[in-house]
Amino acid sequence: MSPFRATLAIAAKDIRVELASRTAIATAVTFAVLVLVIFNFARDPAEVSLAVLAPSVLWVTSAFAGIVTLNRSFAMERERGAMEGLLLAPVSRSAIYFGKYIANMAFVLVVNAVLLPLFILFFNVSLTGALGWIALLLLLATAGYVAVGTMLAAMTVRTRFSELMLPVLLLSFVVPPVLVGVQATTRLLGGRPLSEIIGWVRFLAVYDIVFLVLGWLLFPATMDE
Amino acid sequence: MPSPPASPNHHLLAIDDVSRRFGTRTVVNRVTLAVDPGEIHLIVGPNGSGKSTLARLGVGLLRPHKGQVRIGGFDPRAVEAVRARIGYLGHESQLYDDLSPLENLRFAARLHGLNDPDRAARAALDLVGVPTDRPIKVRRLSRGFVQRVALARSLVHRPALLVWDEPLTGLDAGSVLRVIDLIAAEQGRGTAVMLISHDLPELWRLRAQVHVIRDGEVAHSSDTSLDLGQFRDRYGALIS
Amino acid sequence: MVITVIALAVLASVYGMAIFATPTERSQGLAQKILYIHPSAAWASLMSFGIVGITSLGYLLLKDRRLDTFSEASAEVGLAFGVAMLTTGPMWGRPVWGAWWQWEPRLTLTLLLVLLFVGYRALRTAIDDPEERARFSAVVGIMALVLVPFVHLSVYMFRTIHPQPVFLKPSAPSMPWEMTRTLLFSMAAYTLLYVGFVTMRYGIGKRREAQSA
Repeated sequence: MSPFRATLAIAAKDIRVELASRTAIATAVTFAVLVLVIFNFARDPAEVSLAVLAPSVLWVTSAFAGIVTLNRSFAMERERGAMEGLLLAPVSRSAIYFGKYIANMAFVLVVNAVLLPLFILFFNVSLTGALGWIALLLLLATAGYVAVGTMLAAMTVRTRFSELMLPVLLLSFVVPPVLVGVQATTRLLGGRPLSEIIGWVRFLAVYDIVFLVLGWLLFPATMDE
Repeated sequence: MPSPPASPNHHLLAIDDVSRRFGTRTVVNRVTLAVDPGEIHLIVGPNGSGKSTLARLGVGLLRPHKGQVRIGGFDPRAVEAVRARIGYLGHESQLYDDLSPLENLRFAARLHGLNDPDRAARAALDLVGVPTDRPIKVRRLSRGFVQRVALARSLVHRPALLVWDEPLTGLDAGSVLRVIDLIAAEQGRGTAVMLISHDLPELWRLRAQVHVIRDGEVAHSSDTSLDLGQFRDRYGALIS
Repeated sequence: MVITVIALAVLASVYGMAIFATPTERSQGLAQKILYIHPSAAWASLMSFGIVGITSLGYLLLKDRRLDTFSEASAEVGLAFGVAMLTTGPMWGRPVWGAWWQWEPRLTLTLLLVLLFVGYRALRTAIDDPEERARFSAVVGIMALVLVPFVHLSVYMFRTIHPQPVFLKPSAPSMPWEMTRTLLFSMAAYTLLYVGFVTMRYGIGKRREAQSA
């Protein structure tokens, strides 16, 4: 079977499971809204204005919500041994990785798409002109840490305390994209010229490519029982 | 779908001097076993004797530490296409709880690159007597029903080799008979079958070779032409 | 064991040299003596983690248990050096920067690596099957190595107030020769200490394996 079709079949299956159960996205969105609310109250309104805090809030919320979805991704393969079915099918390990990756990306992007308008609403930021760029930054940053998270989740699901193990390992990898995202967002919201953020965008793109290639190369090792 | 050429010089399943450890414990020790089309090999032995590990080695889910496993002459861990010939059912159903039996089997059929996943899925469910008219999530099914769907899942691509680990678990008497008939029918059409089971009286109706596994080794080999009572007299102490 | 003893002896002479045979820097005063501990510990820690990445890759390619045992040893020694680096940094930072902690690139990189390798250790303890443990931790070890340049670059882009590399600069070292000499000597001592520690820790790992057999 062509790796491309196998990848799509696996991604489509994940999306079908999600549509039938509505666990990952609903949980992650609820989680994201709660984080937004907590951030709003976890500051002294007289000292820290929403505008100063806003970029960090957006990025931290997005990253945390991503972890909630990633945990679910391989749990569903583990519950009834479905992973064995994937491994025994005439498809490559890479097709499994990219299938899971595409589905995870879809979920996290949906969560981001819900998060972004809520963020604008709650934090009263005006994104005139910057919205497209911020969406691009979110897309690029997500693409990178989901590549890492898909690989890590495949392993942590097989360990004790798996739901804790994933964030402990993943958060170190989330730091560079989130840091870059916050910096670039701050500049965009401050009306700085786009030339200042091109370097950050390029950084995110390189991060994505490197970790996707690494995932492609290393994922088979995580499945090699 | 590209499939490796049929090779008359090879056994369909050849387990050749295979060993596997977990940590420092050797679970399967230098087992050699060949399964050919139309043959049923029944693996019996006490709990923890390495039967399930042997099955997982046989389909390529586990890497042998020594020896090699070949399916039609190819390593199932290395050659993707050869995995299309395996129908494996382990202790778990390999199903997704939130999908219906039909959706689960359609996905399995798609993974195997079948041209008409829907038809293949319905045909397989029909073999085990699972109705497809009502979409009920697997989560809501009884244990026996799940087991039948799981059996169907391993059959959906009409594999040349069936490796079933405790296929009769949770089935009612009627379903047990149905599955035994199914195995006999598969044997009739030339499928190679490796079974792990404790349900000897039911399975003794099949024309099969029987291997007694103890401490990860094939201790004795016999076949079902031997009277079950005699078999138990001889090997009962080994397999209880 | 022997190597560790030698390394400790060398280290003692480094400190003797630092205190008695090296001039005290004018503006920073005695705090500057940290130069003979902190960068060397940072170097040893990064080297340990780097070696974990390399031996991890080796494990995945060769499936040799010893490479996994070595990775485990090197990761743990790296953690020890990392903690030394992270504790000496603030001791110097307080008098010189006026703050215990600064989000400075190299400090941040080490902090993140230490946290990641704490996770690496946690992962190891959460897996029972030794082969699976070896495989999974090898994957994380390689990923950590790949992460290093990204963390470094991103934090560097963030801001930097660390003293610029005073000694691996393309131009002539801006430090008096006595200081450079002591620093180099200290780095050599820490490298030797790494060899000693990792050999001992590797031995412990081997013995544990033998016991579980």
